[in-house]
Amino acid sequence: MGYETLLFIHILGAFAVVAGLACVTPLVLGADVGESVSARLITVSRALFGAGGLATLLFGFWLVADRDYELFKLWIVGALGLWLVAAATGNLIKGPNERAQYSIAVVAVLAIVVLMLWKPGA
Amino acid sequence: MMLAVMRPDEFNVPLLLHILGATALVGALVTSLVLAGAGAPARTTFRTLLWAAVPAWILMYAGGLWIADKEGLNGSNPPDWIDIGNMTAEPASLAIVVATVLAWLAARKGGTASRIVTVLVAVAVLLALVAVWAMTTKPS
Repeated sequence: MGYETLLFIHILGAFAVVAGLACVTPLVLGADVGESVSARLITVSRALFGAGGLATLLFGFWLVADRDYELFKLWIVGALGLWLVAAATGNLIKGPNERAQYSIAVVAVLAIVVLMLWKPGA
Repeated sequence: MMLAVMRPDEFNVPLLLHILGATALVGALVTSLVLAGAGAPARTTFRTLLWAAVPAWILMYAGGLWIADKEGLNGSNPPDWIDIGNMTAEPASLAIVVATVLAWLAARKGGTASRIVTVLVAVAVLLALVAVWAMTTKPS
């Protein structure tokens, strides 16, 4: 698989992670959408967050190997740590009671994007 | 060992804004799609489109113009991937605006968003995914 394809799937995974968090945002904000719509939002959120998270991780490692990057650099190790934080919090969100977990997941994902752009230590 | 692909630091802020806008846009559109498709009150779909999708599109587009300007890609002969970005972003904006207006009209009646809103938002999601492909793989 070529570099562009690997990068596309890696970034598509990142978009899915953000979309997964976005889907539960109305629930965290207390929108009254009814039980069936809430259940649908949570199901779609978990599917996108899970599949996207897995894609970013697997294709991220593949990119590291493909580009011959050093794994133990701040921007990669930091992103892996933040990925764990996001994974541990982002899949728990069902409504306003999980506002803290939601905030932590959003900040972790934002910080990963910043690390991927600035690449400190690269 | 290969050095990671680097760009001048001054490019990172506009690129970050562009990426934040793009990811928030796709997130807001997918959320609107689920809300409209699942029969949520049109008020919620309308608010998601108006307060999330529209500002995210503006941030994505403005960030894109800024980074393209910094990289000198705004000339008369831009690369294909910039053209594809424009060819997808502009129709997507139209679909978002029309869907927002239709969701607002449905919200005023206290109902759910119509099937047309779902279709328009789905089209905007597909256009956004084409843009993500073009921005990532940069054909030609």
